[in-house]
Amino acid sequence: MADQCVIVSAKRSPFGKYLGALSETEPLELAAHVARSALSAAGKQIDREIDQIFVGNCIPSAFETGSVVGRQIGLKLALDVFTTTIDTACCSPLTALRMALWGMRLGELDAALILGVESMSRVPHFSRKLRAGVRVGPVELTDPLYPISYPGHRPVAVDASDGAEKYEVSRRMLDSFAMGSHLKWEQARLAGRFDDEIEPIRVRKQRREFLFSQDEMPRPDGSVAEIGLLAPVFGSKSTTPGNAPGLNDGASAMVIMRADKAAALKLPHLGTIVEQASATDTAEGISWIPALAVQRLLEKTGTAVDDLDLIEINEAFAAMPLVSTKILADGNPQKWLELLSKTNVNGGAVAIGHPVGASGLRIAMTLVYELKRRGGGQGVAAICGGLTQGEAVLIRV
Amino acid sequence: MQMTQSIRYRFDRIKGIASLEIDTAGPVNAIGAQFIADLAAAAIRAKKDSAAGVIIRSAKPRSFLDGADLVEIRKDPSPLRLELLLRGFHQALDALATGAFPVAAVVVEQTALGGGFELLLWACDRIFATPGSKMGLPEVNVGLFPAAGGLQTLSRLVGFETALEIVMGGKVLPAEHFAASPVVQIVERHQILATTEKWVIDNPHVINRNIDTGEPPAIDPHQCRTLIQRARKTYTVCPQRPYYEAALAAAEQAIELPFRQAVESQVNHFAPLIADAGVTNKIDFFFTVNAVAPRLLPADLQGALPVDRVAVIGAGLMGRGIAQVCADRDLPVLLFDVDGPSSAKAKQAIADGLDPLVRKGRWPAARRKRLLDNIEPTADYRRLVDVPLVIESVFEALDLKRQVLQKVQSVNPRAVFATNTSALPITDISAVAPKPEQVVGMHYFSPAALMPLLEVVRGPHTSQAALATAVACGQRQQKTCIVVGDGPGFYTSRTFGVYVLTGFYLAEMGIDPWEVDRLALRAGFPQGPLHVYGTAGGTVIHDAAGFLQSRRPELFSLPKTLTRMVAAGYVGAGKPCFYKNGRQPDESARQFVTKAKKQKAPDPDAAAEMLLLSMVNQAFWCLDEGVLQDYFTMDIGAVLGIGFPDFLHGPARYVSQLGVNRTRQRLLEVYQATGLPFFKPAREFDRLVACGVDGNLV
Repeated sequence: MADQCVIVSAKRSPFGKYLGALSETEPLELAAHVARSALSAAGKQIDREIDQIFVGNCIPSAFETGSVVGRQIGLKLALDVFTTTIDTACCSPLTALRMALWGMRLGELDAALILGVESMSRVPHFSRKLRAGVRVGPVELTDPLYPISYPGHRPVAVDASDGAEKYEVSRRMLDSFAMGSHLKWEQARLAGRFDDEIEPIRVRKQRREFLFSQDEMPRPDGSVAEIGLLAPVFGSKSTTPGNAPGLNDGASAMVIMRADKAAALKLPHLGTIVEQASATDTAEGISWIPALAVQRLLEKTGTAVDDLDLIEINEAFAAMPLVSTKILADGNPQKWLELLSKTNVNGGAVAIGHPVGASGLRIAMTLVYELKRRGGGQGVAAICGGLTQGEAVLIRV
Repeated sequence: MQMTQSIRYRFDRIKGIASLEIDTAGPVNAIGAQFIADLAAAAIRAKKDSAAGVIIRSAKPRSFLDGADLVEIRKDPSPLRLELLLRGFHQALDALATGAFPVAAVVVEQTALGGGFELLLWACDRIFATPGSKMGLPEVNVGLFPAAGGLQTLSRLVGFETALEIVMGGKVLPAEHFAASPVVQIVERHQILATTEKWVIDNPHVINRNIDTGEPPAIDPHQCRTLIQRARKTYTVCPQRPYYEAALAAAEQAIELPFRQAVESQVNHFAPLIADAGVTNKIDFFFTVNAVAPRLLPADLQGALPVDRVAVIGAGLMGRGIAQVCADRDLPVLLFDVDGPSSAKAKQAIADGLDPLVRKGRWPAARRKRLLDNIEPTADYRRLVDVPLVIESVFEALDLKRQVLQKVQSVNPRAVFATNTSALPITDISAVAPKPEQVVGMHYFSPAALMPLLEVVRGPHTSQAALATAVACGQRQQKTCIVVGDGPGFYTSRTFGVYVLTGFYLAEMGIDPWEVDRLALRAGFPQGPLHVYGTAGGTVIHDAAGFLQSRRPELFSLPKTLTRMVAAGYVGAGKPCFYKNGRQPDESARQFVTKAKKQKAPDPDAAAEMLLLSMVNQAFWCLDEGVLQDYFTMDIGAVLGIGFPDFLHGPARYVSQLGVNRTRQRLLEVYQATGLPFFKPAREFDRLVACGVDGNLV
């Protein structure tokens, strides 16, 4: 259909590990690099076609100036179009996509650039005391990353663990799925399945300059048993550094366009954004909110879970895909395993990393490219965000 | 004083003695690239300083030099790297040995193992050791063999035959065992430094005994070859242990070679071993047992009750073994049997069992005496009132065990009651107990004095303190402890049980019973399943199998052959079974083998695979059911307790290396071909596949 929303390009940087390859790269530069790649990936420069830019970012203090970071990126790209920066925690880039989708449906725009960027390695420590002056005594520098939690709420690591317990997902299942994330990533890497989406970037690290071209966090040489030895953190019962992603750096970019415009420009049609849905629940429900968002999406579109060829549920912790697929399977053990078999088939955040503002778009593009590789089909990508919000997108290829 | 990374070199100008103090990074002194470089540098330095003598010591309290740095080797397991390392070691040792000075070592209650012992044997002209020092060549325990001339240099001290036994057995012995040779002198701690220095000063012109003087070898080559052939028969039954053949081939090649050439020839037998998956599995298993196993135990062992004495109730073979293990480690034992005279007879049986050890010089008489002094036979239950830990080892009958439990708890309800049952669930035993939280399983393996594993079973009500007490006792007995959950047969008995049952079924499918055992040995099991039938006792096997089947009819079945043999009195343990005298096949057992209809006998490889898969699948069922919680425990229990081939590391590593998908497929195929319920794939395989995990379990 002429007015459908199609994806004409999707690119991401390799994701860096904490204080790793991307830790000396300004997030402004990182985002611009990936955006330029998406804007030229279709074989021609499509800068002029972009009507608006929507950028997801969770921790803007990583930027030199943490204000209207999206607009800063837009200007760096020499794109003087309205740029909206969105923070719905990890949902941000998919919320950004949804805002663009709504804009397209309202006739406000025909083409949009969507970005997700996060530089967790560059998030500064801070103190509120300095403004009024410290007359005597030590000054505490707070780390906003440690732990990730919100005032009046328990750390997200605890919520993930409680969700796993509530839905009877064992520690060993969490650890097995975590190991699977690394192994599936490695299989995908060896088969070249990330070649379509990754745009290598020249980086500098400690006076060494090199081309960063591959996700650097995965550890396919580990074992389920070794992950099982790790102690739970932040007061949780089952969340450990082994079944959680790290703190990471990375950026993702996607260009969406009205189908007729894309056809007129002879741009490739990677996939169609069929529909998106969002959901919220009580603050500790981050492990099951992806399921709620997916259910709402399936209801909206009249799709059944069995009609999905692939599922991506962001591994904010291993608990998320496990709890959410269990809910989508109505608790049926056999059905649950069937759904898991088509979830995160090329690995997930536990292996690849979770730069929080960028992952939402990464799982969407990984889904698109994998569906394409399999000759087409439809799939859902879903993500949870802090204080329990969720986004889900249904894509057809 | 020159400070290097792993050897502290000091030169005393007045006495002219160079002192080398070994202190490598890490908890024990180990031989890695750094140490080898430092050793060579120290030798050069001593020569430059025109030292009149060199004394080697260790700065670590318990470790003189404990062999190769396995962490370093394992990080980069390439034959080329290992070859370079070994040659470097040879050169460093040669440099020290050929220096124009006597070299002496001081070993103070420390261990010199593997390459560490080879350093003493090659480079040192005299070894001064205090009582309590230990030396040996345990390389085969990690899939390697002594390749720095250990066999040759040790032969000069104890003779070729004994040296070969030590190499092939991976033995570590008290230093006194080597003191028959003048090279090793036992000296008390307070005198050792002075004695060593005096010897060095008094013997400036000693020539290294290993450097050939042109005299004919003291060892008869023909006798060497005979001994090597004999060792070959014993050790190389299983082709997947290439380190044994490598050791023997190296030994054979070195006969009649001058020392340096003999050592050089060992390199090509040694280096390729590290490329063998079985060898790296064995190295990994070494770390699994030593570094990981303690971390798997419940975190709060602080809750363990102080145990200053134990009671062992039931003085049969296992009870006596448990009592001996406790008493040998200075844990006083009250040994109970049905009545006073029986208890006394049991103690006498323990004493008689120790006689050969003392007579052959393996144990000092003092050790035997101290052990026996720690055992008090009795039948008076009132004595239990101040015994904190009671280990029950009576007949495997539920009623009897419950009776004993109630009797004990009526006298002392606070005692921790540990049952040595091999298959009866703790739930059942403690069902009628006034204080079920005091009941825990301590499952020993026969013979208790030798088998390293202790399976501690957590019952449904077992308190943390009771669990911790059992584990602490096991650790004191120097057992490797694993904690498992409750269920019929726990982990080890049911996993061992299916191995024996599979052996019977293989015979029923048409494989000659004695061939079943032979192929099991070739597959790496220490004992064939039908041989186990005879040694464990047919009645025990039959009762345990029957019990498992009654509890889990969907998972176990009984071979008709087993039932027929038990009915006919062919139950081993003195009565007939598959073997006469434990060695010769007893053809008369053949009559009981009930041939399965319509089933082709699997070929030897498939049969061996079935034996392995039977254990593997059962282990994964245990994981499904919560009896096992993790893959480390799975592998430790299988290898140390029930003979799963050590070079496979265990069922979890086996599955990792075969592949989860392939394992599940093979199990399905065997299940479909044989209909045997214990080949129905465990559900954990499905979960692993769904998670995208095909390997990397452990």
